[in-house]
Amino acid sequence: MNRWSALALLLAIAGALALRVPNLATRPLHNDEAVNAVKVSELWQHGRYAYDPDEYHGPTLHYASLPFLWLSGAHNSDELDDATLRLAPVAFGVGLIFLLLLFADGLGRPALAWAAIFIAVSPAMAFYSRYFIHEMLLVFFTALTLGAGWRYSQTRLARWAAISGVGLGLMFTTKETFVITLAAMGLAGIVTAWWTLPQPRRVQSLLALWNWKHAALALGATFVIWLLLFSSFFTNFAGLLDSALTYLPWLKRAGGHSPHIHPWSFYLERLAWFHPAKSPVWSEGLILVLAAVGAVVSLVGYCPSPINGERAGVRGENKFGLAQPAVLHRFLALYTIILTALYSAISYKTPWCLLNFYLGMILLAGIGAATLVEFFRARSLKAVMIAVLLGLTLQLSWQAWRANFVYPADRRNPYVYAQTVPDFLNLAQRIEGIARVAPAGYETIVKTIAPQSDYWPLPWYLRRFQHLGWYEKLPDDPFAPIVVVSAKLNARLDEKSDKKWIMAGYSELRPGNFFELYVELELWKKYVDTLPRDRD
Amino acid sequence: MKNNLSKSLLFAACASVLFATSIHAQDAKSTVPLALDLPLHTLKGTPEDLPGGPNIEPLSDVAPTPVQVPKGVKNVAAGISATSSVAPFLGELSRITDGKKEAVDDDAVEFRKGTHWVQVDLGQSFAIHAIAMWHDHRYVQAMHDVILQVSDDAEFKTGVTTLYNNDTDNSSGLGVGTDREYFEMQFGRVVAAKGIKARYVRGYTRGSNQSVLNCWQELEVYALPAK
Repeated sequence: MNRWSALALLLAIAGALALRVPNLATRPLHNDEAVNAVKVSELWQHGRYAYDPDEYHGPTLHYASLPFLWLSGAHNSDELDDATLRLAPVAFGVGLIFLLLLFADGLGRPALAWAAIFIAVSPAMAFYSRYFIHEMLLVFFTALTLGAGWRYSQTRLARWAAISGVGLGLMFTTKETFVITLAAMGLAGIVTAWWTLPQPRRVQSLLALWNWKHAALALGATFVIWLLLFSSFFTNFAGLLDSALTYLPWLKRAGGHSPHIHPWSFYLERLAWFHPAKSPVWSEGLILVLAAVGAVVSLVGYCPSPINGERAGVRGENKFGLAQPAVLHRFLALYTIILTALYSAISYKTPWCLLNFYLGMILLAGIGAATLVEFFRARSLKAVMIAVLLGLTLQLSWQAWRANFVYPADRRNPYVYAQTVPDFLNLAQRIEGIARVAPAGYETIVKTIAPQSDYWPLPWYLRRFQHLGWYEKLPDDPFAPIVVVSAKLNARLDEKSDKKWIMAGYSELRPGNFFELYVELELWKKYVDTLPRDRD
Repeated sequence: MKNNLSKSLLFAACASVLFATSIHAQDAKSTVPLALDLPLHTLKGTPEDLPGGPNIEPLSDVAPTPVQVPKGVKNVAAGISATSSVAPFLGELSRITDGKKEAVDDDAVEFRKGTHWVQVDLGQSFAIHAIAMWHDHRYVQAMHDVILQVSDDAEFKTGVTTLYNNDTDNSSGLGVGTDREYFEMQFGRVVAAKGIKARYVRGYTRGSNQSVLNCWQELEVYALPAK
């Protein structure tokens, strides 16, 4: 790698950190993040984790978070903050850039540099690197599997086969949707081989590449990861069967039994052009256009030169009749197209799922950018092209900054979905404030009532309280010193109690979803006495 | 007889000791924290992404029960230009009493954050029977610190009557209110004034759950001439 590529990589990492690390606690936890927080706390404090085949995805997020929790200095979940929880996806989001080095000889230095920069500044990549959910880990392990697979194809070394197997195992233990990525890899691999291998000895050529020992090693590595993580390190063997049974409920959801049914264009419109009323324009069109360029040149077998010449024998044709990097490019193009089509076709959609095919798009965008620069022979025109691309990349960085620091919980942000609104933190802080003046402190009873358990992330934010009651409808005795009730239930506890309880205000959980806070009047007065007079 | 008395006294003493002991035991028991069997939370998957925009998920489409007022009351604030604690940064104060209160930007008047008021001078003292107010009902939201006061003092330093106050934490410094927060809907909020006599009407707010900014759309004062 020469100094310009190294500099580009360093700048990409610096940019990635700048967009991912600061103010991690600004946005309140999403429902899913809070559920993950409760589960990881259980693992951290009590060593207990059992894979649930019905929901909540695989174990890697929780085990990968443990080092960050150990290093945080917190002694228990009461002392944890939201920023610490989000460090694991940040690490994997930045780590993704390092994994590009596995493709260095396949992509070429210029394409690698561009891809690294695009990963760093992509609003989608940056935004979901700050989300305590499984998606960024799945993308990381996908890149590891692909990258190690490519390294194996170049070196035929057993260790790369093993690493690829580990990557596959980690994909499996991260999220059930890995099967979609696996299907795209398989289909793309078959089509690439068929397209690339010379007639009439395609099958023989393919079999000549096959190494049973290495294949067994890879599968063995996958098996070990699967065994360790789904059994929660041999404490829950039911998790092994559950890792297969989970596809029953997930197939139902994919088929339409879910509130997350969206049209085929759901992902692409968020990436290409998102402009709701009274909102700025959002577009990662730069990456999409460059990815299209990259896909076209990859499919026709053109490689932008120079490809990295650090290792002898990489250039030129191999026995397949094409320069090997071109085979990788073609595979990436087919893989990305197939994966995009699969995700778009499945009705069940949540916006973070787009990261899976977006990784391929970014790699292709790197190839596309390198191709456009290479297209111009004159150095001055190359410089102009680079300047234009960098200028547009800067605009993308500004969108990423806006997504993370200006509109982190706002529905005008294309990547915000069913997000807890910041107002809800006021409710949690208010209840904490009441606990500080309550005679029973955190032993004070708090009852939360909401249909269909729609009160998350409140269980996480009220974790310090020892006596919490959670209800889906008004219980016979709804009263407690502190009661949080969904506004839909029209509880009117203040009227029912002859104003012995006060309705202390509405708080919004998600857009249009409100909660009422009822507090026993004398307790409320004690709390009000502690509030500063001048609150402007 | 002495023996009987002694026995009775002894019996009474023992009974008293036993009774006192049982009371002490009861007292000791009543100080033990009550252990309630509270249901645990349920883990939940990704919730539905509710649509954004105006008037989403209105809590009720049914208009509230109308306030009872004497025959002949009129909106005596109509056309009277309001004043305010700070100048609006969007819209004109005249919009607050122009009779237009649709959930559109052209009918809204926006003010900066903090506790701010709008005020109407009715020109003379009226017997006020109801005051109707619409804040920002372009979006479903609850305004904070909605306080409605009337007075014959333009400065609201003396003779102030508070008709409505949902500032439950006294963040606006006008006293702890016990009225409820409510959602801004097309129905507005009508406060019964029971014929109180006053010349000036002042309404406060302090942002909402959605925004720190303040916004008014209409203020109507239904009154009869003061006798």
